[in-house]
Amino acid sequence: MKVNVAILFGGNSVEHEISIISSIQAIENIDKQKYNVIPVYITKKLEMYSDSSFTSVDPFIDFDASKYKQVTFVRDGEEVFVRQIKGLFNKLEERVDVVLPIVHGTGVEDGTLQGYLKMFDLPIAGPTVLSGAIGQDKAVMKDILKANDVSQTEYLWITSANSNEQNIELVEAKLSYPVIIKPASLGSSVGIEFCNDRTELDNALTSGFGYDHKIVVEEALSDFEEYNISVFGTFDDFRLSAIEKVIKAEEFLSYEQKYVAGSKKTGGKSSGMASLSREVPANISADVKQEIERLATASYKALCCNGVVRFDVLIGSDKTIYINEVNNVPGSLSYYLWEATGVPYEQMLTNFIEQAVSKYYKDQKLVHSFDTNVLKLQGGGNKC
Amino acid sequence: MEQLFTYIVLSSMLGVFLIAYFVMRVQKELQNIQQSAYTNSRYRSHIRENALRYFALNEVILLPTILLYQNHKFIMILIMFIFTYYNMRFFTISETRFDTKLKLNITARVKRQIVTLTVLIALSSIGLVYLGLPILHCIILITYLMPVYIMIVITINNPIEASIRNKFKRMATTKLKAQSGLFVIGITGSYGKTSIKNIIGDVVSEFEPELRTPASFNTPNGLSITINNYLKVLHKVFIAEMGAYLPGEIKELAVMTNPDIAIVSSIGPQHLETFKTIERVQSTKMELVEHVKPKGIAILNYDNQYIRDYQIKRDDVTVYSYGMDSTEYDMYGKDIEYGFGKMSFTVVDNINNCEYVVTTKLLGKHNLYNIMAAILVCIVRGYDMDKVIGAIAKVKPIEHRLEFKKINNETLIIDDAFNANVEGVKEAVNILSKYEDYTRILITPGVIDLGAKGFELNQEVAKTFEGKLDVMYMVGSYNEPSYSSIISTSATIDYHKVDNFLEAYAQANAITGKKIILICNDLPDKFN
Repeated sequence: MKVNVAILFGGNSVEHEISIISSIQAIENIDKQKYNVIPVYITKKLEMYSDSSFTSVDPFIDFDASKYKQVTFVRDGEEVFVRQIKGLFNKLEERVDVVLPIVHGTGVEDGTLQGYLKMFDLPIAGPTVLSGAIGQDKAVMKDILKANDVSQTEYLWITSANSNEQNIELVEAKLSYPVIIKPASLGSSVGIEFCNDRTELDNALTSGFGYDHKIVVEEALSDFEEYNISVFGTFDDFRLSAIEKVIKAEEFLSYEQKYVAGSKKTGGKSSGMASLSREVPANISADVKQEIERLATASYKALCCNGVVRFDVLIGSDKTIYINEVNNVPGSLSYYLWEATGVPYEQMLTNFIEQAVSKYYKDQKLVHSFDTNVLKLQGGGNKC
Repeated sequence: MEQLFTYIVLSSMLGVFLIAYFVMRVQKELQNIQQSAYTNSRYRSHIRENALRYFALNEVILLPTILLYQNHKFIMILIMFIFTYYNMRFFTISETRFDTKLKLNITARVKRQIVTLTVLIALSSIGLVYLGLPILHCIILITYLMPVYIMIVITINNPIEASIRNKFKRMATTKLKAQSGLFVIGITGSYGKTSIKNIIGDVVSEFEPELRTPASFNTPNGLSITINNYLKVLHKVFIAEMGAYLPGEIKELAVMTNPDIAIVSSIGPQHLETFKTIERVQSTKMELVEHVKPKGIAILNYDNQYIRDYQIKRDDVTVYSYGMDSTEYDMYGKDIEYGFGKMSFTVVDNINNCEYVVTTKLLGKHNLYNIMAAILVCIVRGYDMDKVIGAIAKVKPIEHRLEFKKINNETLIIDDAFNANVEGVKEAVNILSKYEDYTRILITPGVIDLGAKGFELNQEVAKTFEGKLDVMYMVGSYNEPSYSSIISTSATIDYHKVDNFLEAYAQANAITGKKIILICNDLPDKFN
């Protein structure tokens, strides 16, 4: 009997399309001998649809909801189902054993979807409610890393409660130009701007507060190299991937560069994050490798991470190494880093699902013993 | 006129009274048949043991008396009241054999029995009334014959139940077969199987998702329910406890689950009432080994003579032996040391030629055996042994099984209320004996449900107590003669006979100074 894995993707975040690409890659690469995939697409209006044709990007290029079956998650007795909402006959109903949310960004990656799914009490791969929430808010994330003495560039965070002038004052008191502004709750480089002076900062803040009430301002490194490393597992048992050097064309990766460049031809492994020009494994010294791994390990623990996570690391011209970002559901699930580590994508997805199942059963053991369920059963003890 | 009115009121009251008694009897007898495992033979032995209750002349005298006083309605009604009240009292005082605290559990099966019973009673009362018996007399007669009705219900319903069970069993077997990668562990034994199941479950769950049969769901039906309702495609290991009252029952469970590993923890004189001889217990328990998967594994307690001496008929089964008596076993344990609420010992693993030092919160020599069985399972599954030893240290005792409780600085309790067998009681007292700085107190009703050998076996238990405890409270009179015959001559044990647990506990608590109280085989309602 195969394990039914619901792969969730989409959602109302700015990274909606990226999520579709990452999910289609996963659906293509999952071990079909072991798993039976139930694709569940979340529209930008937050409706859920499921269809067996959701195995390529085609249905999503111009999504026509009327063609597909709207579904919802339902717990019914001991099982959880993806069940069609409307219709009387031939209703779609699939048992779900494990959920694999491949969603990026606010409203889905930030613990929201995890919380919704957690209510159904089943194994969920990837971030927990907590790690999702921490990771999605750059201000909170940076404060936690700081509290754990993880090396970061100088930063502060400001809110739209202040006027631009007040905020500029705060920034200039602590940081020196150039600075980078980042809306606290967005990922994939959205809303990120580079500011060389006060005027640029003023403009950037105005547009930045259009994305979020909270903005993180970091001191920009004049010259730096960017590296990525992925960590997979859970707090007490995890593995580190190979490290890649990101070959940059501009000062930092823009949204287009990250996902759109070279990925017009959709489907397959040739799109998304995997298609950037990159150097894997990075040609770095053993010391640097060790330091990046140490920072990634410390960050993974501090940020209560779970599942596959990618850390973006910066090395300044003075060779100082900083943690820059955490991605709780990295684009393409960072499979290219794991392939470089000797774990093929198919195996990686299997590990990912098995880790979720194992965590689920271990967590259950902590919360309540099986015996509490037994009370609901009646009569077995009497040989009935 | 007034007299007629009084008569109507009185007979209606009597009617209500009789119906109340009737309902009480229905419930009581359904409970008795449930505790007789729905078998007429066990139910009959229950009736025999409580013959006085069932064949008391109440109703026998009642009916002719009523007929005799047909024309003196007031006297008749008065007599009926007195007898019914007397009967009600009679049936509410506790009976032997069954735990009266176990309430009737209204399962789907009991509901079906009630349906059949209702039909039977309706038909027979129509018949009796048609024959001219007054309705009140009819109720009395049917109430009196309740055990007969129950046995007829069982005779009618059991084939129906069998087909329902078979349907669920087939569903379960199909579901198990479909889950090809599932590793099945079957556990049986006269005692220790629930503990082994829980230890294995707790340890295995540190490595992979497992499902174990809950509580004592150890029958084909219990296993069917577990598999049908709780087994998920995600489970990697299924741990099935298997119990038996009759030869062939373990075979049925083994064929149903096709286990990869068969564990036999012990063979002893349990359920001799149905098995008759220990040899039949032996061959029944070993049915599990005979029906393990082709090239399967048997994990056997070789310190048990019946297990060691048994000749396995198959030659494709790999046997892993464990015990403490011989260094030749595949795994043997030694050097038990007791600490405060914990125990440690050494396990020698002759399969991998190494030794493990194990610490556990589970107390008692029997747990050393249980843990060795669990370690052998882990070796078969290929787990990392350091993690296994760590997982064992985390295993919590089951409630009421040698559970340590600190009441205050003066008083410790070893709650062993679920302990109900000869070896278990001996071992619990052994553990108690280690606490020499304390006044060592035992509260127990002895071991029950041992059949004809009960007296001797309890005497045998009592003989081991000398020098191991200071005060003993014997609860109830069921086993009192066995213990008083041995312990009353003891110079070191202060022996008391008490009526119930609470009395014993109150007396024990009154003892001053540091004390440790072992509660064996008793489930006091007001404990905790």
